[in-house]
Amino acid sequence: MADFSVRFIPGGLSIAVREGTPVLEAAAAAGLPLRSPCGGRGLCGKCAVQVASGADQPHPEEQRVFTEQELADGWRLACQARIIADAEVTVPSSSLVVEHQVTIEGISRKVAAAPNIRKIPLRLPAPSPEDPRADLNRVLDALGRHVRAPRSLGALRALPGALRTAGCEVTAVTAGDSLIAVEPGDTSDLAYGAAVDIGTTTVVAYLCHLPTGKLAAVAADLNPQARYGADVISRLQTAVGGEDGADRLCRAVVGLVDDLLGRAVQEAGVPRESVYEIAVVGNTCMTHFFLGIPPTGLAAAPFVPAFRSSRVVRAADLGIAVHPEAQVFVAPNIAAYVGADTVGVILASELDRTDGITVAVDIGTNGEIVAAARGQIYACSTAAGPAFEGARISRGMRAAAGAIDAAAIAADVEYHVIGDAPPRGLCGSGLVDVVAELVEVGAIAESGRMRRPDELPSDREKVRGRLIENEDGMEFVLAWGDETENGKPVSVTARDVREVQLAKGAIYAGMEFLLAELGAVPGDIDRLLLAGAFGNYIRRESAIRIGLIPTLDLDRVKSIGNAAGVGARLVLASVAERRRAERIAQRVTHVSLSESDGFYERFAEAMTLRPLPQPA
Amino acid sequence: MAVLDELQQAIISGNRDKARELTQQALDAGLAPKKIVVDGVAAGMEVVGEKFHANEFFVPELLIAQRAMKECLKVMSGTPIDHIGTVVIGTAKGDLHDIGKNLVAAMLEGAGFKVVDLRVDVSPDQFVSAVNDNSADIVAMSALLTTTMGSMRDTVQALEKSGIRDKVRVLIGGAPITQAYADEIKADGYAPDAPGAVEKAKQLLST
Repeated sequence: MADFSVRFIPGGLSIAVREGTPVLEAAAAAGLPLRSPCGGRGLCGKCAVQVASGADQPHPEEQRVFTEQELADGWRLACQARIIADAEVTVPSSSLVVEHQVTIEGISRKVAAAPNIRKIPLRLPAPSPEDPRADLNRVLDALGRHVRAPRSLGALRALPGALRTAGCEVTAVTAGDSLIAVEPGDTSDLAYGAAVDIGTTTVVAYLCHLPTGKLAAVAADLNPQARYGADVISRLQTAVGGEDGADRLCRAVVGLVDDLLGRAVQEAGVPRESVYEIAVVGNTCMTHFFLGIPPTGLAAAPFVPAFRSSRVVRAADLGIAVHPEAQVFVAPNIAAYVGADTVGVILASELDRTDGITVAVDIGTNGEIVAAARGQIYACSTAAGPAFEGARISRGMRAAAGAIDAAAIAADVEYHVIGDAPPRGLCGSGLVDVVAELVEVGAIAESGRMRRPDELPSDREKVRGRLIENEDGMEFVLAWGDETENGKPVSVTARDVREVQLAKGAIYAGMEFLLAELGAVPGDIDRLLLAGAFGNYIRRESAIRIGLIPTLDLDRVKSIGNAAGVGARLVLASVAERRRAERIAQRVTHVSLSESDGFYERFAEAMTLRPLPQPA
Repeated sequence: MAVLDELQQAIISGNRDKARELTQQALDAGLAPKKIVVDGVAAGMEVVGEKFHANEFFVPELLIAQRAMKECLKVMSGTPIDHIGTVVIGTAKGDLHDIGKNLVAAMLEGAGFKVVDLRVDVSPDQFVSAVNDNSADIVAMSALLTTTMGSMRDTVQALEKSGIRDKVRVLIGGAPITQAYADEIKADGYAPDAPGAVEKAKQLLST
């Protein structure tokens, strides 16, 4: 067998291939991945190229797709045309693989679109005495051997009608290698998926257009499980406490996901049935609740989940109303308290392929930390507590309209409110700013004690005037009653500061411990990535000021927003990312801080409100 | 006694070196170890507890005070101390949260108790054995999770089954614990925080 040279335009790349190689393969080898939604079966026409010379005669599939003139001009389907001599092939950009740019909140990752769901437009010959094939066989034959018949009756019941509505034009919908539906006409563009991040405090749903990866709509809301407790532990206690606790927690979160999907499709102006797949990330406990699997083992030491690897279930079985055949992919978990959302963060920030020492911190309720270097990945949960998400703080709230999300203190207090509304409370980033500023001006000692007004210098009159003592202890007023929505002042109390100390001490000490596994110290960090709840952007300077994160050059510290959500979008966009997620979950070494010697002491020492590590 | 007042201050401010020096000074001056513990160490830890309660001190201050206290006890470890009682302490089976328990253990030690710390995730049988092995006066249990509280009830029952229930006092605490729960499982006492635990422990000794 001879070898021939194929030259591709644009790019001028030449590659040697064996006689008989399909142009599609040659292009892939030359680094020009061509679109092939129908999997190379000559059905969709998306891999069209112009061949000047070197290919065999047009195949029947090509004669169906191209006109006489087009064929004369050299138009071929790359998946059908084979190389039989030295060739020159021009590739139009419309035939190149679309790369999804999943850019959101500071992370940008390019993935080749390879969704699990494919919608393949077909032109089928009508039934005739010469061709009396059954409807299903007609469709499966067109799709090729690799596509399996649908398992559900629903798809079959809709089939005869679909085939006879728009003449011979239908769109076959496949999930993996299964046919799941046949729709009349060409509906290939009406293909959506949802990426959902089930956080302990906030749940976010991203509606994505599957063929292009474009974000069509976002819907977010508070996790209604909050009424059973602000953190995972309290909810677990409700779940295992008997009665129908687990059931109520499951229905609460599933109900919200269904609701968010409804809002998202409405915003995008598409029907619910155009959502064919859902990808879910969340912490381990949330994934159990979502699937209605009792999280009994998570409630007490030695803390074991019911399952770890990814799961695929029918959306209908969960009570989520999207396309009747839609499936839900739940990403894998790492350990009892380090879950699929952390896998999402690793995927989004590519911590599994990092150079140098990279640390990612989720400044949320569970305070998950991942440290990666030289191919090793360690993770832990610091159980920091929900202070940074607004819970257990007297006037704490999530990052939504009315939340003070930034503050500065010079002669007096200046604050910024989300939505420019009158302040109702403060969210995590506002809290960190306020504590940092109060330490800076001396209203709070490094030990965390809130000082009395007379302990401050007399030229700090305005600041002194905001330090109030009442029967519960000291508080610092940020916004007086006449500035707020309900006439009650928005303050930070002395006890709030203690909550911040507990949370930030846990996170900082957790970081130290994980780095120690890598033989490193906080100063060695090359990149520190701050992930957080939806919309919550903690200021790096303030975080460093109070010792929440180590003192590092600011260009080494980056906010990556809701990285877990990006991870969910990535597994939705590409099945390769799902396999990568599974490998990541297997590879990560979990470190249990509560069983680590000396953690309590490091934790207590890290509670001091000052930049860390302490200069020698 | 001036040296004991200074020792108190050294403990309150967590000054390990001073605590060590002053303890040695006090011993050299012929003061009885028991007096040093009660009027120096325990008195200092009591002030620490009050400041913690008043939100003036927090976990770090307690920790450094605890370290200073340990220095004192180390200096005196050669000399026999009359402990006021023996406490076996640990977190309930299934529970790994030990900050609260550590604080209570430190303050009990500072108050003059001999403390046998079983650490975390302690089963009823382990509690029973430790009570027997150490002839403990008090068994103190903490739990942070409602899912592990039940183990406290099991421990009380295990003590009954071993026939030693009337020889030891059961003291419990932790975030979800209440006096009502203590009554329900027939524990002898409940305390909402570390200083309270020391108070209660002292009370239980005289019952």
